[in-house]
Amino acid sequence: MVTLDICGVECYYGSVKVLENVSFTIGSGELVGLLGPNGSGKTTLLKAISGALRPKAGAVYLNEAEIFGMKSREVARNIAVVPQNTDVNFDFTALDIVLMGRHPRLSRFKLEGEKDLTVAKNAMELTNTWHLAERRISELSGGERQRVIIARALAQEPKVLLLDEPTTHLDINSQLEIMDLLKELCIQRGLILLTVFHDFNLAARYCDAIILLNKGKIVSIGRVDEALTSENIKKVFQVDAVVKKHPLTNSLYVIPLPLRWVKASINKRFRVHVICGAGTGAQLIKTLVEKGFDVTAGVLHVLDTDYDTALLLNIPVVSEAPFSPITEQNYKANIKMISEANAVVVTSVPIGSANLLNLKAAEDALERGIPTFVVEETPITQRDFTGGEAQKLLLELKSKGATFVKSQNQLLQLLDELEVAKVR
Amino acid sequence: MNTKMVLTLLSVVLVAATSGFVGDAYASKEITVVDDLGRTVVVTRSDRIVSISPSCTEILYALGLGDRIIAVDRYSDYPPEAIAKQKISKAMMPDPEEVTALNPDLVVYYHWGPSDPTVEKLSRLGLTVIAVRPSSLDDIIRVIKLIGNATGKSQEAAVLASSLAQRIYEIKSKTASVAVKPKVYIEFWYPPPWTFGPNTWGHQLIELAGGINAFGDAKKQWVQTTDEEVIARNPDVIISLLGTHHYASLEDIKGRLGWDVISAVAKGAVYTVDENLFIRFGPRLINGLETLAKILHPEIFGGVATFTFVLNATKLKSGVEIFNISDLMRVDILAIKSAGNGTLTVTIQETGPEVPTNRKLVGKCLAIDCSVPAGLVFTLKIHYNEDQLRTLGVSEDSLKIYVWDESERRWTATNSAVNKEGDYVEATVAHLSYFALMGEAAPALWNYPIPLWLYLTSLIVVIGVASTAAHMTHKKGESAK
Amino acid sequence: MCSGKSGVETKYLKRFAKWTSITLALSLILLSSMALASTVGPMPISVGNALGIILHQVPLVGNAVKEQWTTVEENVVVQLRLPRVISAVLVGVALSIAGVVFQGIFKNPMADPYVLGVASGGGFGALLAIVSGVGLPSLGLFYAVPVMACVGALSTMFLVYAIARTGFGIPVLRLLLAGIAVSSFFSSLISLMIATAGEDIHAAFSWLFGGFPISRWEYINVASPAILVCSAAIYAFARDLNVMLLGEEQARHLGVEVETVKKRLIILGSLITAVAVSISGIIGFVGLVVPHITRILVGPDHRILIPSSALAGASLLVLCDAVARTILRPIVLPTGIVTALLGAPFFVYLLIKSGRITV
Repeated sequence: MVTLDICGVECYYGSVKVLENVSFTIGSGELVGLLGPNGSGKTTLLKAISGALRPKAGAVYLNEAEIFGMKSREVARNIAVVPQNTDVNFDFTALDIVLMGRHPRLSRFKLEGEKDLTVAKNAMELTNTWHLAERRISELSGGERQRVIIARALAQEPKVLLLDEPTTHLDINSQLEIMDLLKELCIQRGLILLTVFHDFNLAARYCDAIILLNKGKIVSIGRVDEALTSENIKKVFQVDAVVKKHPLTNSLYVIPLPLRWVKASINKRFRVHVICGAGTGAQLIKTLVEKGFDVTAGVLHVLDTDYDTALLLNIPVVSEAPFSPITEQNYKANIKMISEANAVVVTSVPIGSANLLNLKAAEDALERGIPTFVVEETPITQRDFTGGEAQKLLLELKSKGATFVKSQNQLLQLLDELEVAKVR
Repeated sequence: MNTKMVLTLLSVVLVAATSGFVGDAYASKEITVVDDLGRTVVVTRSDRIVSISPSCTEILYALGLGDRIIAVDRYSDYPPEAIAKQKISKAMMPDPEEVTALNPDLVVYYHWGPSDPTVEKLSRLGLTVIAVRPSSLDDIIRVIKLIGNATGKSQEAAVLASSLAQRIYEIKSKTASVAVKPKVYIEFWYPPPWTFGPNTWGHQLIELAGGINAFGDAKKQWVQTTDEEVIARNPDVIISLLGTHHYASLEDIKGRLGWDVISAVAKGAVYTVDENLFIRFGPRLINGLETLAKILHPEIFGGVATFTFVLNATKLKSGVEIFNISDLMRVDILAIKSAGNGTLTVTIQETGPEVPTNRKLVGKCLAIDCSVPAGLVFTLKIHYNEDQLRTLGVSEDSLKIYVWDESERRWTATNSAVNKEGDYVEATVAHLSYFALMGEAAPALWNYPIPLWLYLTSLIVVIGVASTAAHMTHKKGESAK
Repeated sequence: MCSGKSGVETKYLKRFAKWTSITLALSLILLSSMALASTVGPMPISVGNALGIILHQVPLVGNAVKEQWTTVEENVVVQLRLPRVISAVLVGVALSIAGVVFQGIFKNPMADPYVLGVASGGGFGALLAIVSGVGLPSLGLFYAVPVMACVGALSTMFLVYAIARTGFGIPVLRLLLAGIAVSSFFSSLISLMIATAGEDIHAAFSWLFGGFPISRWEYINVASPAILVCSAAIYAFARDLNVMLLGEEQARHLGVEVETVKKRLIILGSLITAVAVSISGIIGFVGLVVPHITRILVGPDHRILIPSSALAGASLLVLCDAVARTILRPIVLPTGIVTALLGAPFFVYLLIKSGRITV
């Protein structure tokens, strides 16, 4: 059982404080991810742990022994570092490089022996690089090089592995392979792995715990779903992201949303109410917000993805409890919202008994004289789950003057014209 | 007498009177010469001459133009009067501005190669420049005449030139038919050995003096070579040029590893000669030629001879052995003690290590060597005559035998006694080196140059004392208040 | 996974044997070069005699050789030729090893032993000795020039080190810049001295061009222990040098005490160069190119690179010196010029053949 204790570490570059009061403990068999934006101190933290940087306050302990005081050799026998940059510019073979990992275990004049070669070979077989053993390191691809460096780290037979973005150059296949390998080794050999990730999803998938770092301080530390929340992500990375648990892999996945659209100024003078659901409205709502329209939506059921989108974009929305038909109250609220709109759009949402009333609300809009548009990307026949009711209502809408369009683009064009007309 | 005649008479008198001036004006006529670069140079005046080459300085002085020289280059040191002249800071490529500022009438310059821009620069600044570039001894004669003509000393130049030419001719003709030409190695630096290749003055002198340059087949003029090369070529005669930093004597050369097998070293035929007799193209070069000729062919020219005497240690135990030399100079050697049997070699040389400036050499320089040096004690008697002393201007009382101190590199006076009746000086010595009889020309007061460190130390001490004194008086003054 | 060793493993395990045979082969080449150089010279000594004289000097074996040469021949070979050959060996070893060390520390293929200004410092010291008259060839003071050269060289090393030091160790870039600055300064001083030297110009130039005109057993006796000890000490850091090629940070992570190793290697490299410079003046090319040539032939592992470069550099210098002595008889060329003229085309040939140049 090995423990890595980081206690109240503070680090400076010159007079600039780069790490402030960083404390945590990792034990054997734990794969911990270190995330944070650029300049948050991740690399500095790795340096402090590996003994390369001296903390001005606090200390790092490996099994009660302070790392900074140890000789490089001693540290190298216990801690291996896989760096970010693996540019190598000379004629050593891949096996030579991996054998360098044995340096801390060989006394000054000793040559590498059978045992060293066996360890190196094992490490290379694990990382699938043994077939590259006699190739020159300068001739290998970025990904192959990275795996050789990982093999070298393994050849050190360390107790702790510190990895700085170990999978950046790898293709998706190799990425998963390596992470699977590292995870397995972590558990099998009881290693401590502290890895810097830029890829949230990879981190979420493999890590037992996440440390979120920002401006040198720990923002959050804990199990993946505790630390990696959209609030934290927003706080640390200033990015909106949807964090969801994936039904198949049962791991969290994070979808960051582009930055642009929250910045557009809202045109308070033209409001569009969108009747949608089941994902059909997300794109449209986003585009409308980007274009500066004032957007509202309703009625959306709580678990519906369009509801999530609406929430994310801070759109006034009338919501309904999941799987329930629209209540009278909500219907009235929807109508009210519609009455304040300049236009109403109905997307190609599948209609069922739960949301049939939404079409009725569109009819209401027409009676009020509000321009109503129906986007028919897919024919109603394919999405009518009301036994024909929806189709009938749609035809009524048509007769009452709703504009039917085949694509969102067409719709947007018409909305633009409408807006211009209205402004004049 | 009418007015017309008076006027005519007056004008005649006037013309006659002024013609003197006019005559003078025409008398200081322009002289046109062609210098060694083929330039036609018009010399109007030569009262202010600048010489930028030690050899040119020597020629100018030899022509009697010494007092017209206003400045020389910093290497000009002969004759000794030249040292006092104002110096130009560089010799190879002098600063044209510096030269112009001196306002010379004539500049004499040694042009050292096609890429030397000095002549062009100076003449463009309006100076009169005569460029010389002699490469053979005949060229020297020509240069002397050229400079003589340009400075209105044609007659002196002609005299000097013809006497030099005569001397050269004498030597050349006598050595032309010589049967054996000894192989000569001239050394002017060690280590590593540097010598003269072809197309140098040294080489020419050797050839003219009836010798063969051991390195005459080299492809460069200045040859840096190895000890082994010299040993392999086995010269018969070694000439060691004495310069400020090179003064290898027979002893030094004997001490070099492997050199003892060279025939010149084994025979003791190693001669030290002042380097200025070999490298400057002035009248002294002919002195060098004569010295070399005497060394190489004493049978023709005399002047340098080696005498060998046998030392018998047993004989010496019972008494003193006397050896006499009367050829060239009268020298008696009384051998008193010897460690064993061997030979004593005495070489009479024209020149040896440089005589101190406040002494004059009487007679010639002796090099005494012995095959069993340890334990040798002898008395040396060098004879002189009154004529010698008078010519040299040396006082008889000041005569002493000097021995060359190898480690200190200077001549030291021995405990010698002057025998005025017998006209000789004697001294008893126990070691081997060069010996010479020297006397003082004028009462010398203080001739030792003050070493720099002494100067600095005394300066510091003086300043220290002065400031301490000042400080103390100041303090005293303060406390008195 | 198959049991038993694969071909690759066996190959790597046999490396030591392979390296030993390379070293032996190169040693043989060196010995033959030394023998060849000793038989060459203006004195007509037969090859048999020359070799016999040399063997005779060897302590135990020597007595078996029958003496059939003259004392003159023995003197020439032992006192004149051998010191020159052995000096060339020492200097060749020193400069090649220093070149390997500096190229490794700076990870710069253009680095050579003089990169830290040692050459200019040495030249300045030597010239000072010559010009002040202290170093003149008067018997007792023949030590003066080499000793002053060594002192000058070491002084520049300390100066550069002091300038480049920061609180956190010695950054490589600062070292290089400090080396350039100090080197230029002393070079200008040297030029100044030459411009005002006057009659000492001969001695100044023969020293600066580099060569072995003044080789004596006394110099060898002092220099060889210094060079041999430094070489051995440098060899102890061979594997560290390998790892340091990965970069200082990675080397530290792999257990190399980077700052200590760097400091020691710089001192050792400068010391060995200073001693070489004091014997032979400034001989260029050897320290820069011999490591590259050897690297192309034996690979970048310093455990074989260091001894191979030393032996190859020594052979090269011995042969070049022999050529310098004989090609334009009786004139002796500066050895450094011959090294460049002969070595450069060979290097170009190797470059073209191998297609790359790396550290």
